[in-house]
Amino acid sequence: MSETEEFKPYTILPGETVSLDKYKNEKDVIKIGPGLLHEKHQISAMKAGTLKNYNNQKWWIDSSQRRYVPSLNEHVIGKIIAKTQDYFRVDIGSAHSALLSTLAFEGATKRNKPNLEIGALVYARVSLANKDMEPELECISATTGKANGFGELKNGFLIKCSLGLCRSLLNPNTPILTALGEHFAFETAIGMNGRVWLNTADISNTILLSNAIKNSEFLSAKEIKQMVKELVKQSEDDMEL
Amino acid sequence: MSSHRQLHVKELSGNILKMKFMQRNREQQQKEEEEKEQQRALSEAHWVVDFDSITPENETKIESESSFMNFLEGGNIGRRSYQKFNNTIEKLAEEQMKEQKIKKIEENEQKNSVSDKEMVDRYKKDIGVLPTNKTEKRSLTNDKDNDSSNKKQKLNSKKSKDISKEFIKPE
Repeated sequence: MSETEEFKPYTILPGETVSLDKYKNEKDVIKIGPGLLHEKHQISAMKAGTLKNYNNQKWWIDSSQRRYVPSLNEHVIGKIIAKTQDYFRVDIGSAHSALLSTLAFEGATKRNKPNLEIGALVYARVSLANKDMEPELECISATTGKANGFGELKNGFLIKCSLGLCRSLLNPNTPILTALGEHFAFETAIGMNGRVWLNTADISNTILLSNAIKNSEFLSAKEIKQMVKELVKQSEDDMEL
Repeated sequence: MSSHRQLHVKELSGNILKMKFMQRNREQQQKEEEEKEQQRALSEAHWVVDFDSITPENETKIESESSFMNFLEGGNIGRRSYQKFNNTIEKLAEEQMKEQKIKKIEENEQKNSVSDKEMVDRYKKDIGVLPTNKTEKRSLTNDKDNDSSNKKQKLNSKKSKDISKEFIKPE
């Protein structure tokens, strides 16, 4: 089977079976992602969404759900809800709260622990994810042991959105953030658990940005540009008044 | 062996045979024989799966992952800053972007290069069809029979068969 057919993403419903034979590449290992189940020589869908693939090698269902299920190495934004001597208990929006060791920060030692208050936000990496256990977090990179952007998120504002929107925001060329970046100076952290943290110098800008991001989920790139343009114009008018 | 011992037994008198060390020796020999018998019975009862004759229904390997991390198109940068709001984050994001681009290029290169398994497949195709002996057993006695009867066939395909055995084993 040297020739493989061109694949077009299509909508799929739970229970439907997926036939990959047409696109099979004999020498490769096929990776199936979230939403697909491999059982008895057959691949079937478990979620409703769009079936997508990459290089006929990776297959997954892109869906926009709101329930977060932690999984290894995902970057999340969590809120500290309790602290003990060794652990912070962190709410990451999943069924169970996660544990964050006080030593899992860059440069942290037994004597020099980070002092985070209850209610503080952290950007962290899931270091243990198992459906039968509490998830565990770390605020250091898995390979280098450095902070690499992880750690406490000071100031700023947190908004919640769907997991699908968060995934699209993670793309460095996402239209909404690049369009907003042309007009405003701001900083973001995007967690895969459906949380986006924003920080700007001005509260009115924060409100504007958070509304723009929330509204952008179902807009095309063109519509997003238009929306941002209008919002900028509006805010300038307000300033003059 | 047994006939040899019987000769000895005939020569020895009853008195000597009653002696403790003689009896102990005989018991030991009996025990050893029993053990041998048992082991032979066990090894005959064991059966070996003939991997060569089994053709897997689904040849491609399928791995499943629970995370979206490896399924994000166009990169994955969680922290970003625009218009130099936070310089350190902006530099970090640029570095991560470069790293991810390099990774992607490497992945594509790997895909285009020829893998070992593909080489073996090609080799098999060009050299000939693999023998599929369904009746072949992997016991000591049967191997001898097979050797004589299948010698011709084996000689023809010995090389390709050796290779196939190596790669069919689970990794």
